[in-house]
Amino acid sequence: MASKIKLLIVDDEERFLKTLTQRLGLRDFDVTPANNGRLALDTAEKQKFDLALVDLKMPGMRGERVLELLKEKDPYIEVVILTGHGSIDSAVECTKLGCFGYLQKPCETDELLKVLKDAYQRRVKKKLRLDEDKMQKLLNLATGESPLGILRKLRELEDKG
Amino acid sequence: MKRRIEKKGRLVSPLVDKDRHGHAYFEQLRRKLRWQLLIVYLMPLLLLSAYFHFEYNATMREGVYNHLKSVAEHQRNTVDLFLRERVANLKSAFRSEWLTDPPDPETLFKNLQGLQEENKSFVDLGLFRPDGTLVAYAGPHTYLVGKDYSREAWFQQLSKQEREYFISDVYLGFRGKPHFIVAVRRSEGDRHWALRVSVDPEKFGRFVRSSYLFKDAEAFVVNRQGQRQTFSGEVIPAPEASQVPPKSPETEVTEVEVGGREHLRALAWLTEADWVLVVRVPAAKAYEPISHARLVLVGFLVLTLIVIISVVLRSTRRLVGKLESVDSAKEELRLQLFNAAKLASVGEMAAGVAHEINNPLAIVYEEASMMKDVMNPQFGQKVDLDDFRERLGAITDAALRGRSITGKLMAFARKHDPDPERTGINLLLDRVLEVKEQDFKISNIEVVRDYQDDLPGVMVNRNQMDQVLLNLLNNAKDAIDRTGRITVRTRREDDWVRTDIEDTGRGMTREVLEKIFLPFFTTKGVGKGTGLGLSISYGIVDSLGGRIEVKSAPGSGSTFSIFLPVSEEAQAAGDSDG
Repeated sequence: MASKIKLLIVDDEERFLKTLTQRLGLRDFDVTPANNGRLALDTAEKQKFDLALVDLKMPGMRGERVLELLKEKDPYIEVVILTGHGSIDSAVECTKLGCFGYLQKPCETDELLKVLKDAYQRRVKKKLRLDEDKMQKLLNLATGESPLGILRKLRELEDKG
Repeated sequence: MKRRIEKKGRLVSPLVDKDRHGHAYFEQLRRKLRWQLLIVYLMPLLLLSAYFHFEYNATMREGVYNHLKSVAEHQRNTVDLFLRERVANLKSAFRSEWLTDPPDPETLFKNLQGLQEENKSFVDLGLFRPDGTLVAYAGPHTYLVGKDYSREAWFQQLSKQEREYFISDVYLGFRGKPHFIVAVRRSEGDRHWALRVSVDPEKFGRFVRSSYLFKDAEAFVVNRQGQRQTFSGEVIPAPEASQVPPKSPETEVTEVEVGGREHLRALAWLTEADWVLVVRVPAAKAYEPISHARLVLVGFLVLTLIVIISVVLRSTRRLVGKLESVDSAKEELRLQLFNAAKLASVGEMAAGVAHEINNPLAIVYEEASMMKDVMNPQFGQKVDLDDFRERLGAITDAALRGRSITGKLMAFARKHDPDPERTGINLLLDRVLEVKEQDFKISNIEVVRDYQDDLPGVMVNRNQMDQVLLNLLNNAKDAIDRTGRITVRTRREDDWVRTDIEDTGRGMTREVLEKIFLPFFTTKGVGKGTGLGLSISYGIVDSLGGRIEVKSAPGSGSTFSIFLPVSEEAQAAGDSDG
């Protein structure tokens, strides 16, 4: 894997956020910390992330809302929940909102890494499938179109994707 | 929309035992019940017994009277018949030839014997000439022969009167012995001969007494003056005239006192003589059946009373004993429910607290793991002691944070101490708010404290009051969907300390408001609320002599107001400890 996995961590516990950022940084992750939901969304606005690790109970925006908005912005981002207070109800809610994993604090490093890697694989697979689709559409478009027309439609596709 | 929960209203929580009674109450109840039951059971019995007793008495008395009357009449008839027969005997013995040729003593004696065969009371027989001279005589007093009886009352009366016979009262006469006579007359023109028989009153008395129908009854004959005509002895008894009423054909029965004892007396007037037959019986004897019946009745009554009283005493004791044990069992159940509800609310809180504990644990885990990472050559990091020191500091901080959270939780889970103590409500509020602080923070709830600083103390059980405040704050938090504000306000209002917990949540409809204090009523989801919090809180506040009021409307939040009485000490001292 040439480039590092881009990961956004959202948690209101500053100390936890800082240490986890350092630790995942040691393990080939390009980690960006955010200590509240609003900051996380602003950051995601500026740059694309492969994954996000989100706490649920936070002052200000709740984790569930952060998950929802991140997914809205980028359907291919995989979000893993890491919360201090897990419950079946909240796990069901988050799954409905499209989270990939639901972990409870404190979480063992191996488990966290495994879930994050699985999440990244899914993202890669989705991306690849998307690329295949794009190629197919491109081929479909190519028949009977002028080169300029093909270029224009290609840009439209990019924008949608 | 505002409504007050009346202290004695229908919304009284079943978890608060307003009817919890001490032993004295049951003692009083037992007494009351006992008296009521005794009165209800005994009154009719006593009234009926009294009624039947008097009715029976009257009937029996009448029966005794009638019996005595009939005895007296029967005896009177016997005596009358006896006298009539004697008169008839005399008449038939009185031969007409005796008027010219007086009989010799022998003949007369035979006649006397004939009479004596009929009755032993006849003493002698005599024949009197019209001038009153006794010309023939049979009997013990032969010296009477030749005596002139013309001045004797009986002789004069017999000569004068229409009736051909005469029966005299007892008198002494020539012989000087008490006797009475029966005389018949035979007339030659206006010259009247008389044949007389004298009767011994003692023997006559025996005859009169001959048929007793009452034991201890006495029967005798008195004349109009009340002199006894039947007696023994040489002296005629003094008259008892006061006791003899005027002659009447009716037999009368009266109660009289004789010799200091009550007697029943029947008086029956004879037709043959101016005499009255007296039958007398001591009242005690006459009324013996009544006394006997009364004795049986009283005995039966006493027995019944004993049975009823013992049954009533026993059953009220058992009933009230059962009530008391049920009451104490109820109290025990109430306490159990109370503790269960408290544990449930602690459980609810524990779920929130888990978050607070897991966070420091996560820090401990990450810091320790980071230190391992640094020491792991794979990552190529350099060990920096300052960095390690900082991380260890973070770990100890996290451990202390965890301890303080469990400590607070334990304070709430403690079994309640039952004695109220004087406390400032602001202190209690601060303590509970401290526990909820983090919870409110992450739930985006702003807490505004609006305390009156110089509040007087209130008498509360701290632990219970913590629970009330915690319940109300939990409810306020749950009522707020995303963000909101909880205002905690304390004020003194007259003799009350008022605590408002006001939220900016979704509020309640009238329907919900009506039910919120009922146990097991909850608007929270299944498994989230027990429906006991407000019910318990209401009970606790009520038991402290206070009340809870609610003001709420859909969409504009709710305000729960707790009113607690200012503690008497504080009231007396006029001091304050907000």
